[in-house]
Amino acid sequence: MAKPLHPFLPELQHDDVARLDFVKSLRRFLSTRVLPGNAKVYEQRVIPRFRATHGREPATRDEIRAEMVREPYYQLWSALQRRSQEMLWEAAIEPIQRELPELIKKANAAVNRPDRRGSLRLNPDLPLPAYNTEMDIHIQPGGYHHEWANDDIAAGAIYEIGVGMYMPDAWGAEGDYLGQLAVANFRRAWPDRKPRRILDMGCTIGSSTTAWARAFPEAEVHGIDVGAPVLRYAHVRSEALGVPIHFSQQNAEATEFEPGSFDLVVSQILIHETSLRAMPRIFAESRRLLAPGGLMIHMDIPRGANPFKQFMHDWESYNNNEGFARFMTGLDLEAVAVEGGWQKDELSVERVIPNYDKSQMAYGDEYPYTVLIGNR
Amino acid sequence: MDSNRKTPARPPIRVSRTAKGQRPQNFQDPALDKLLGIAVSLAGEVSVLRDRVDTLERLIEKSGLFTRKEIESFEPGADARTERAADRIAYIERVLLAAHRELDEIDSGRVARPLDEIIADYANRKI
Repeated sequence: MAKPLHPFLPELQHDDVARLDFVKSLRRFLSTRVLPGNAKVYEQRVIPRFRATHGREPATRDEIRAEMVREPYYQLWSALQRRSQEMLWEAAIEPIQRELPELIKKANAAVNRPDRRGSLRLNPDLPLPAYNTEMDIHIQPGGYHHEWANDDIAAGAIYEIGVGMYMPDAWGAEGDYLGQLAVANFRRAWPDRKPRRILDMGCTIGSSTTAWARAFPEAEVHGIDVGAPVLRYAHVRSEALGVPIHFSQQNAEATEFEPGSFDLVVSQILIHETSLRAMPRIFAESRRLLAPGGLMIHMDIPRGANPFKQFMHDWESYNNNEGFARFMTGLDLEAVAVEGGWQKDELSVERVIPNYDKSQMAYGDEYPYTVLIGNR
Repeated sequence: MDSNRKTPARPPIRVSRTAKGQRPQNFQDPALDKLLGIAVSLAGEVSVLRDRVDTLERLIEKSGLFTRKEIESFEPGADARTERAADRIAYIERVLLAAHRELDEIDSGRVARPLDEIIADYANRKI
């Protein structure tokens, strides 16, 4: 089998690869062949039925949802999509569980080695936010935080293999596509800026952090997250990839960094996994951490251009433990940032279009990311 | 299975396959959600086996023992065809066991009384 990207991923055996390939193929099949039927069922069955009783078309995503969940076609697609998400993690866990003691041993030997270029700082006393602990986000068993053994790194490895299947192969061998997209967007807008201190909030295993660090090798790059196992993994992973990053276990709502200590604060798909209570605090903290002239760039998930597309994206809230994601639809991010202490004229919101193909988009045919920018 | 496979009987660290969070119900009967889950798992395992057979065929071809073309053009003799047909029927019976249990009972004349009746009989010391 192909050599793993780094020593903290398990060696895959024949049947491991076959299981991962099956899940990828199933998800591609669902996206290209089954998903489009939902729109047809909606147009040809749901709209006429709704019009007959209400004299109008459904107006909101929740009205659409109430009708669609009764449709056998949608029920089957939804059940298959859910099952494919479960199997994605199951297929990833199989080889990881088999090699976990060995992987942990290797990671322990690598953590904070004298020749390291980055660092790892954990805080076992950090309270985990409820939005992490109420449900395991995107049904990854154990979420980002659960430890199945001492010094565990399983959550990191599970995440790394899992995201490779989530949008099959869309994020590249190193899973850093979103980071690269954010970097490219940054360079387009500010071609001459060379940030010297960068903070990536909610970095998980540091795949996007790595993209920022590679783009600005002169910068000191920090990544924070609340999950200890993903941070341990992020640290040994980035060292193995030769990218120096300083990881620490901190909550983006209130960090220990000094005021004004960064000139760029970013996140990639963090916000939709937090809450309405946390968001203004995260934007306020971003502002506090920025030196004058610094930039805040939070990039988050697509939500759909019309009520039907919004309803389809809401699937993840009801079936994939993304309970908060649906609240991102139509949310005025600038207003939330103002609540967090930003001035209206410091803010802007942009759309970024990724180059996914249809087989990589499980809930619709367009995935425009939303980017909130704050210019201090 | 080859001796290089490292699957231990009992893993030293067990990682749960179950995420914390209420599981969605897509069908009117929640048992259908579970059944579909089992069916897709089986489809996955069949896919794993298909990949393994494909690997075997390619390795065998590479080793020069026989070619995949020979597999495609292989014609089982009359005996082999009869044996295969019988094997397939036995296989289908095993897979569809749940579907024809009722018929089995009727055919064998071994239809039991309702369980509640029997339990009541135990309670009343009739048995």
